[in-house]
Amino acid sequence: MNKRAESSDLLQWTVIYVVIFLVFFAGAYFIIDRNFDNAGFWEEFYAKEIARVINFAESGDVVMLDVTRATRIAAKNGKNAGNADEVFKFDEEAGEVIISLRQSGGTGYSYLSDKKIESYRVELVSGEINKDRLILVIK
Amino acid sequence: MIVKMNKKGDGGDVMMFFAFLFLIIIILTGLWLGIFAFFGDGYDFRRAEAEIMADKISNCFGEKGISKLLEGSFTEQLKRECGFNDNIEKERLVYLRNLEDETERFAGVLDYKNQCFFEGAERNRNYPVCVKFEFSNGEERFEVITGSKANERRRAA
Repeated sequence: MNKRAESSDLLQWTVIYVVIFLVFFAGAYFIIDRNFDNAGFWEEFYAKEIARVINFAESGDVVMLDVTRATRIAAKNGKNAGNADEVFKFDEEAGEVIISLRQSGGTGYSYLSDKKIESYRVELVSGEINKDRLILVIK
Repeated sequence: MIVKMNKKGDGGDVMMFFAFLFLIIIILTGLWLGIFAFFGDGYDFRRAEAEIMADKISNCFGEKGISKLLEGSFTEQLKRECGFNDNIEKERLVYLRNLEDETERFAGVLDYKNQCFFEGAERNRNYPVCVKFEFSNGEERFEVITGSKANERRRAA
């Protein structure tokens, strides 16, 4: 038996297995971390619900939506949830509402109404604990 | 990688490497499937949007009168009179057929009129979902189909 050759082979295979294990666990951690708070689903949900509200709105309407879950997820992902512009964006040229609950990118959905958004803000609901709402003023 | 085979059966060790890789792939696939099964495939808004369009259009027909909407370009009249924006032409359909003289008008993707009624269209988000209703102005009857295939998209934000 050639003990030096065998221990060299053993070391080589061990290193390969360890590297593959590390790559596997990094991949698994990445998949779980990205989906743990299901930010992608909630971005889609809020984009479509806000688009629904805009589609039905008339000029002069003031719309209030409970966005507590969105702001909590955004805050957990390092965004300043109190600043509406960081989480909610309106592309009036494209007629699209974009929700961003993660550090990079967001989910957009187009609305059908020709109404414009005059202003929007996120505020804490008075008298409630930890409840945020988005206030949209339709022009 | 040169593998030295000897009579002690090193070939078995090499074959186990592929079994190990296969196991890794199975585990990662299972992880992904589990996440997909738990969180689902998103929020299907097609039918809700088709109903919103139907609602807006039937209100518009009632308020403005259908004959006004048939003057000139149907798409432009929908935008001007019913408060729709340019997105009515993208991944949506508004189809109007006069049941008396069979004349047709449409805005958006006409083929959705057929795609909506394919088997399995409701479950497959690559197909539109439609809502059909009839409208009468007292003199003529119209069939209206509104359809939506719009889906969310990733945007830089």
